[in-house]
Amino acid sequence: MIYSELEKYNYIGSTNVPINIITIRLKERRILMKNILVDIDLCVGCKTCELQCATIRVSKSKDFIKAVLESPAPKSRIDVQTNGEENLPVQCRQCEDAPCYQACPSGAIYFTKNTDKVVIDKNKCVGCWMCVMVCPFAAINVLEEKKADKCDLCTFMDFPVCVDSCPTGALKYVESNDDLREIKVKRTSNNLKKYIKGRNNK
Amino acid sequence: MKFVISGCGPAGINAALYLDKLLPEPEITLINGEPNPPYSRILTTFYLENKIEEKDLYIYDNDFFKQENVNYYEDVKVVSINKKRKTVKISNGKIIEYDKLLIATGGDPKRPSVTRIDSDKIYTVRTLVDIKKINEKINIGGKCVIMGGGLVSLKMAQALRRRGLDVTILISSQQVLSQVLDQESATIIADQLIKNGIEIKTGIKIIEIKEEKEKLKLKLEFGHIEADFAVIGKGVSPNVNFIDGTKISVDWGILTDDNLSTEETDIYAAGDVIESYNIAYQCRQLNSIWPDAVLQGITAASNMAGKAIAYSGNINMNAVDIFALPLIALGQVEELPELKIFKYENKLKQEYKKLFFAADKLVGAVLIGDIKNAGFLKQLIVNQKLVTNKEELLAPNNVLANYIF
Repeated sequence: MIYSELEKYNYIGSTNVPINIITIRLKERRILMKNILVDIDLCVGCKTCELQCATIRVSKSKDFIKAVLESPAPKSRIDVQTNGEENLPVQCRQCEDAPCYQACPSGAIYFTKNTDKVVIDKNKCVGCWMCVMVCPFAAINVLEEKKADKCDLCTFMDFPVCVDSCPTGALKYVESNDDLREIKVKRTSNNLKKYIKGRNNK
Repeated sequence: MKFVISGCGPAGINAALYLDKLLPEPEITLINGEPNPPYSRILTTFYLENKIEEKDLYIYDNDFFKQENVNYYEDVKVVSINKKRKTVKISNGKIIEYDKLLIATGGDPKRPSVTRIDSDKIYTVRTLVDIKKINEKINIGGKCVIMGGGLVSLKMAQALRRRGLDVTILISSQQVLSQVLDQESATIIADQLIKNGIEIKTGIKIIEIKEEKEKLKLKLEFGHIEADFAVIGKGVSPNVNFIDGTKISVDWGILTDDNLSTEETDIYAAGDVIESYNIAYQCRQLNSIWPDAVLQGITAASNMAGKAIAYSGNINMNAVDIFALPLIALGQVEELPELKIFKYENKLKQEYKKLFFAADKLVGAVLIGDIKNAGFLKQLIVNQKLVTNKEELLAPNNVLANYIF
């Protein structure tokens, strides 16, 4: 039974979370999994998402003006990549095989019980940088305090602040059962763009 | 099905967890050679420097080992394999049957060939037991000598220094991390160590080690040095002393096929004990790193359970934090005439990046200070991507942009 579930999702990944959590994860992933996708045509590269993320999720003061003055400067967990013509915000993609999770030797990276998000437990992180070394999207920040930090899709808040703040609607928080989008595009080196945009997104 | 797994490092444990997930009620026997529950070896130096507590080392859920379908043996080792009867004999005399056997026994620390090295003031660094012994030995203001300039040695040096000891590193080659870094990058790391109070002596040949009045006396080729205790960090060699009588072949490590199966039927191997394909060097090597051990454990488990998946190899890579200066080295890091090298340095910010290209492919990288893009560069090396604008990869921003659009 579990075997067939694994087959269906082409799932490779495991380790140190209790078994019952993994089982829940496999069974309910399709219903629960939400992810942030990008309408690439709508992104104008304004970096509002970066500012909001850095202020609300990373800075100590949570206040824009004070955050600017903080040292070390708060690092946004979302990074707008640009080639001058096109822009694409990149953050943790919540990979199915989650290389960071597999690489973490301190048990700091785990899957949340109900929402199935890959997140970092800062208390357990020792700053060994294994996750930074293996993240294919370079989505993990190195904090001055020697902790790894990355997007958790604002799991412990109501809604992702980057999506909330995006003035053009380029960032969307999408349910995986949305007919128009297919989130679970398998990550390979050749389809990063598709992976971030979602399969059926023009 | 009876699965026997010898070794409880990351490869062994992850194989067990994965088997348990793949199959309904597999019978799993775990043989742990160490006298403590499975733990994370990488965390041991953090434990030594008092950054974490002992309980934090045990990262696996203890309930798993108490499950009905899991037989867990502690402080015993496999001593021999009977391939005809498909059994293994363990060091307490017990014979255990297997349908599939996984060898994940890791490595044993190497000891340098010096006369009189069997003093109880000389420690190897591998297991938690080793670390605990060293922990007892720490006396503030004491003096410690570390033999070897590899990654474990440097992590040990840092931990002991942070505990208030005088630390001297003795290295036989001309630089620290000679297996990991080129000379120029190594100098930056050495400077960082020296700045933080660690003494480094390179090109050292140890002639003799003696114990005198509760102290260790190391006679070197030129001069001598005294210390309260010494630590050996000379790397590990695969632990394969129980495979006599099987067809398993060993070069530097156990040889396996892509499915991590050895040449003996129903015997698999994973982790530090095997040789695996290194994509950057395009040859088989020992590649002892945690993320690969985990992946190999999972791959072997899947194959043992009957679902064939291949392990396509990886690259050598290392990540470490040297007194708050992060370092990641990937793939082939060598100043060779056939490699094209691109470099960026900002001394003020302590940032240094160096990329190594073979023709149009990235084969190696060193990142010091700013390591954020390491994972992406690793991906480029592993996938052997053609890189047209090589210099752009040194930039801190928009590195992915060239490959996404």
